[in-house]
Amino acid sequence: MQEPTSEPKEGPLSDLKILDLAGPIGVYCGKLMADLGADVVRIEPPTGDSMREIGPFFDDDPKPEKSLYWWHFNTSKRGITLDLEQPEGQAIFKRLVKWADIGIESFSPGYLQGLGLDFDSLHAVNPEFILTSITPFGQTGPHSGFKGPDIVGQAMSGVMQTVGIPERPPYLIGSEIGYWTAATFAANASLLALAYRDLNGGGQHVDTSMQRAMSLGAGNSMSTYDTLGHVLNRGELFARGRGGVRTLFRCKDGYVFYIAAAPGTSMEATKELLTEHDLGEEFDNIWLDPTILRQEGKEKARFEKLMEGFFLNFTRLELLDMGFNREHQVFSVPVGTPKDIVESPQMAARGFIIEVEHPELGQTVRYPGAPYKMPESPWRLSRRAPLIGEHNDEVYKEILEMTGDEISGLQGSGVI
Amino acid sequence: MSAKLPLEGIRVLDLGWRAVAPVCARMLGWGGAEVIRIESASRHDGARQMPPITPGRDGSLNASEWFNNFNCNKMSVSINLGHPEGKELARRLAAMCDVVVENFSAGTIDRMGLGYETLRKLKPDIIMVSHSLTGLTGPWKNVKGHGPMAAAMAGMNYLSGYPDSEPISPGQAFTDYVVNPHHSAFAILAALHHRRKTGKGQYIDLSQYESISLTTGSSFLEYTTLGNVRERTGNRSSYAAPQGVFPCQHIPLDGKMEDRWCAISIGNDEEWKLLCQEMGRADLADDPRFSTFQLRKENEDEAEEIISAWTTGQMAEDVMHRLQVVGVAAGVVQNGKDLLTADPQMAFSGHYRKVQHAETGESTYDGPPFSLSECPLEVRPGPLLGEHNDYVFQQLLGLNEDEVNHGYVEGIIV
Repeated sequence: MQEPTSEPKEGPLSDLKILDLAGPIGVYCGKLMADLGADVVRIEPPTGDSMREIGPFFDDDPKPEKSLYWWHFNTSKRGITLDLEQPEGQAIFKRLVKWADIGIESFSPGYLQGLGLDFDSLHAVNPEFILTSITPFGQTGPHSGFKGPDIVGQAMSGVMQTVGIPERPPYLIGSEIGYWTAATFAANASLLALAYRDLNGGGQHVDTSMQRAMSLGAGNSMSTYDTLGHVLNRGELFARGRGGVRTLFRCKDGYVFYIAAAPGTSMEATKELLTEHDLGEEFDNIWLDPTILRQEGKEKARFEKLMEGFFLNFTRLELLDMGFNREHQVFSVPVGTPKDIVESPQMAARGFIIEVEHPELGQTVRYPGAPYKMPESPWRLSRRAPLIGEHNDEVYKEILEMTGDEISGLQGSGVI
Repeated sequence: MSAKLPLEGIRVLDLGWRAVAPVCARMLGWGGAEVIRIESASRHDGARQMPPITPGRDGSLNASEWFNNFNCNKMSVSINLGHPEGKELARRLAAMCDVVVENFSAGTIDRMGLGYETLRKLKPDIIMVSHSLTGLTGPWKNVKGHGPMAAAMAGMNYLSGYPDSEPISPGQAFTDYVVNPHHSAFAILAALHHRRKTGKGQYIDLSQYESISLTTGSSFLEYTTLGNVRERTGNRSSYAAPQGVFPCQHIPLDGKMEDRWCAISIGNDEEWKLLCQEMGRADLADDPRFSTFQLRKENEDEAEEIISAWTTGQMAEDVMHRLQVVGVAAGVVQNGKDLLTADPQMAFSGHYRKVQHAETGESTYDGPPFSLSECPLEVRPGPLLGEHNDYVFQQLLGLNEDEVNHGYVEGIIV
């Protein structure tokens, strides 16, 4: 008898229907859901979403269909156009809301109300609908009308205050991490609202603030002030080095990140490693007590100088290998670039990098893969980001049961 | 009947230590799950002594506000997992749970006898998450370490800091607090949804290295399609210029004067004009050096100098308000004190929660950073070590008095 062929497993959210209107601050929320199997319909204005203007661009060709930013954040989604500022567009949107479980939006608070598409109006159309709003400061309150690009979120949240060195201005954490953070929390909150609906019935309005979300990334800044009256400043924590010992060193081909004297690490391990490379004599046993190295002064300077010289002799991967393939691990890892991630043997072995078809270009492109492996209901990048209006026919026919003529009519009047 | 919290009826076993798994479990606790941490006095989580410690309570294992904040809404049971009978108790407890989270280095939990394959025999639909540094498989699986190491490997540091100096690590263990635990919490919530539909549990393998790598965003595609390795741009942006933090009037703090900064970001030509008007420099609005994004990008140093000259000497809050009122994005680089005591939006949102804790007294914790219109989420104090032993041993596990005493005498319950 033949083994039954197993069906390809579906993502855990494959039953969910989602309308995605979010801008950069919230666009990752829909990607998280789409890559777990949800049917995410990305709604753009008929001229295309302004996110498509963000570079860099494929082939360095600044066209809306070639924005790598758009590509990255809209994988596995379907795309339609719809003009929400026209009454006909608003009526169509409400019909889509009837179909959907969750809507994701990041307009300035009050904008949707102006269109008659605020939560209460949508709730009246579909009482089970969950609306997830993602904004810099939340839907209400004294700063709710403030503009909040990523840097403002990183600044106002307390995160930026702790990043950098005292001699220079505060630094951003790269890659718009404020946006990512807001969107990730919004995705968590949306699934909590969904779990609530499964238990009790009824949709609700999820109000996510980037400032609040990022403030959790400021770790114990708030509680340090609350408990000790002390304001944490940049240079006090990891930026300079855990417990005061420098973490960042140049090596032969870039930088290594090295933790000398933190919990779980052992100075013995560093001594062993140096001894294996004939530097044992240079290692002062006084350093085996890491508290000495946490204090500013001569010992710390001597130790850092020795390590500086040592690291320069090796490449990042050599340091990684010699660091962990031993009984007592030395905590030295490469400071990676996107190139290093693509070339990493670990990433290759685990299949993190995936090839995605771009039929419009007649080629595939390598994308970053899953943030988690969940084999029973796998993460899957099911398609590249949609072209402008790519799924208009499909979505409007399938979901709203429009005829070809109706769709042409709406195209003629600029609604879609 | 009152409505149930989203995760009411879900029980979570938190085998984590330090940040990433406990922070993940906190999200589930906020959502209404019953979260039980296994700890022991003999081998307690070092986080119980992480600063800040409530003054006068040095040496206590219950007075770290770092620990308490990250472990709010949880119960604590003290079981010695080094003891065979302790392991057995933990397995029995796990069999009564829906979700298990852990963040030991890859393979450790299996060696402890609490791995997924063991637990799923006891509870077939269990959902378990491991948060290892680089994943449970692959040539680097034995790299152990702290979250900031994964951030360094995954490109976060390389893309952070000023272009003219070395990469920099986030000041806090940022990825342990935000990126990784909330990727995994999202995966758990999705897995719970899947289980509601299919009855099936699963084992989720979160590699911190992978989870953070994803957040390097389009720089990954920039390399795979264009071959460019994106470099740090400091506080600047590829699509807003000028953008940066600008020096404001210093303020007294802890007995000395501290520098103070306001972030400003100009997203389009209109905002540039508004900024110029507000600075009293309407002459610059149509200045050929700055009239388009491209030109402002080319002349960003000059634009920054002009703005700095205007902000210097002003209070950062005043700069923010003046600009936001006219429609220009600006925000003070705030510190922990500002957030807790001065920021009217944080106060309005009710983000911070006051709790009464048996050892630390009145304390302030973070709440969930979102509001759900239909179900306000509670925040309760972090547990004392072993505070919920009676509940767990007697009510959940049904041990009798003799068995509990045996546990204490034999060092199984510690």
